[in-house]
Amino acid sequence: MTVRHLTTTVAAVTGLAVALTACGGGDDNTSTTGGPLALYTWVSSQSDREQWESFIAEAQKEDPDLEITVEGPSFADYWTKVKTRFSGDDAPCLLTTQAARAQELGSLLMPLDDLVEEHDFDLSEVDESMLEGMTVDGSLRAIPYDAEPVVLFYNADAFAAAGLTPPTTEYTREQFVADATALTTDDHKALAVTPGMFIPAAWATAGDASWLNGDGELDLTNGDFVDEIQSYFDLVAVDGVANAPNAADASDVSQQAFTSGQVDMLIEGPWMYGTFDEAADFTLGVTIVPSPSGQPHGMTAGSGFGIAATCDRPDEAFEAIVALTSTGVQESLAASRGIVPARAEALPAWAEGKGAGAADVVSALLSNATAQVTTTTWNQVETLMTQYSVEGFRGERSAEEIMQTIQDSVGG
Amino acid sequence: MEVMTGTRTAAAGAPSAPATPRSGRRRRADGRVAALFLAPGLIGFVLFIVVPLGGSAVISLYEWPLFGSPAFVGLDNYAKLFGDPAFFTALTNTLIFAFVYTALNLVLALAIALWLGTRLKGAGIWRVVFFLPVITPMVANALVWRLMLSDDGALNSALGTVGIEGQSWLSDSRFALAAVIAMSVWQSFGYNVVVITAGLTSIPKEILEASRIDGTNPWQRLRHTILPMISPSLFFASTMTMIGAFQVFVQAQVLTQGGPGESTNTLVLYLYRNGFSFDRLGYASAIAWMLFVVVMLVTAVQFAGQRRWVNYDK
Repeated sequence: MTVRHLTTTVAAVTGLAVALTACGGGDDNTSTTGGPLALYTWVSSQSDREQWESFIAEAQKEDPDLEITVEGPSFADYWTKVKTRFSGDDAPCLLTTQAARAQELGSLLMPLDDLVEEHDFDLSEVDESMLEGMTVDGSLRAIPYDAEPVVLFYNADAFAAAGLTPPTTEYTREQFVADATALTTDDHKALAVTPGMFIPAAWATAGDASWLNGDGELDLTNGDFVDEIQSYFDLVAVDGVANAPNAADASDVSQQAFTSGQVDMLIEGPWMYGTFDEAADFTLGVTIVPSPSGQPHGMTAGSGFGIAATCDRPDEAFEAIVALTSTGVQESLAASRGIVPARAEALPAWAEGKGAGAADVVSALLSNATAQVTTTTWNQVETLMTQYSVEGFRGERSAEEIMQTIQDSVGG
Repeated sequence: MEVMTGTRTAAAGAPSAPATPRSGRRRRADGRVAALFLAPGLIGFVLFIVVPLGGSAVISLYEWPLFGSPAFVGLDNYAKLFGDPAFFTALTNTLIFAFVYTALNLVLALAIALWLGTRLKGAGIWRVVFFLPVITPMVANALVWRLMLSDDGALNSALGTVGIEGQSWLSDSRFALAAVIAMSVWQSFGYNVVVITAGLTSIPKEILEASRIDGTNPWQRLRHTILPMISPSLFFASTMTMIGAFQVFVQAQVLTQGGPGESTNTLVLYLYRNGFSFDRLGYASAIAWMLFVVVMLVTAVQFAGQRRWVNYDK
């Protein structure tokens, strides 16, 4: 090979690489050139993709001209990639967010208040707590499609075998601990707990405590919240009705413990109803997250559709959201996918096929619900709580110490 | 092959060749050829090492979110780092991990390599067995270890059968880092077995024979003959193992999530979380630079120390 040939070859390869790089740059610009609207959302599995396709197919019954394409990474990657995806010029117009992440994604989401007014969209039909959850800096950023109050699942057969009264729409902490103690033996625990902040937050909400101060700032060290977290830790450390988890235990560990009968109770989102009912070979019961008074106070988790701040077709995008969150769509998705709809009038569709009283419990919780409103730093709170809660459950550190550590680390 | 011929001629004739215009042109041509041969590696090095290094240095001077405009903060990220207790805990954990893991790894690898070097039947099969964890995915291995070390896992069950009470290996801060180290050593010592075995097989048999004739016992042969002879292999293994150890991430992420508390939080895990979970790329870049400095220092000390114990004579 001569020097000239070598030079030519290197130049050709470099040119090809540059050309290939140019060819690989980004998707078509669907938000600025007309055509279908692009929806950026989490697509962890074929099941997820089918869910979004169901949303779109049902929405097309409301608006036959509606065209939406779906793209997105897995749920775990979504919260990182959504920020980089919307930093580009060809960002999609539509995106999904959870209420718990709305603050974090606030700068990506267009305020919808003007569009709501222009399109005469009736917000009174939508769950109030979820609307609160989707509100950032005083303006609505997404229209929720579900409103899922965290519930306590229980093994009704185990309750019956132990001669305990199955709880329904009221459940005191005192009764809960008494029942759990009765169900606990040397080699069997009544409850499964997971590391992290999600379930403790639902527990604290049931006790009317909040992790935010009046200005919406992180306030983990307020007395009420610390007491609630301590009482949750004490279920393991003092009452001994659950085993301490490992920090790396994901929620599937406790879920499997529940469906396999290793434990009798589990606090989880109602979206798990179908999965639990299918996996468990016992009668599934649902009740409220126990509260000191016994009255329901639900913490709602849920997701919704928003419009990207960079979208230049906001009216079209909002019309799409109106169709995607219509009662008909929510009824269909509630029946087929088990989501608890954000519109109360669609709730009967969710109740179909569920155990007696399940819808009553969800309704009772939604009648006095608070959304899981968070801060922009919540991801750090969640991560640190995952690390530190293990020590709280084991009784090695108090809730006060742990909350102080997390508050100091996150920095307000 | 004109290129190769030219290179050989230049290499052989360069010291004594008179500086004629012809040889000057040839030297320039050789230079261009050398540059072309260097180009692929050099371009890769610049694109994937130098540019990212420079980029992260620049980012570390900004408050840089994944979405939105970065804001220049000068050395604030570094100042914040020195006041961050979690950073120092992660640094301490990483240092403990790196030194203990490297020491255990080398001792175990040396012992296994010496054992395989005896007239052992099926040594090849054993070598494959020890190397298997190296080529299996770290995440899969860590998941299996997490199941084994969980409170009701295989280890505690095995201990229970012999009347020993099990421990919360992953939930108790006294054991969690040790569990991460144990898993990491198991995962990777097979690589060093291969490296050290290569060193052992390169020792001339005559030297070992001579030391036997001189009346040495096995320990004396190991201490005064074998170890000095394989010291280059040991130096390579220790340096690479130590550098890899400072980058520990998956084991802590999968086994313990950095917990309980901060007991297994490592620098790279802390860096990753700051960059991609907490949306603080500037702070993460500052951590990356601190890690870079620490690894550079430790590696420099290792290179400086090699003069005392590494023997390249054959």
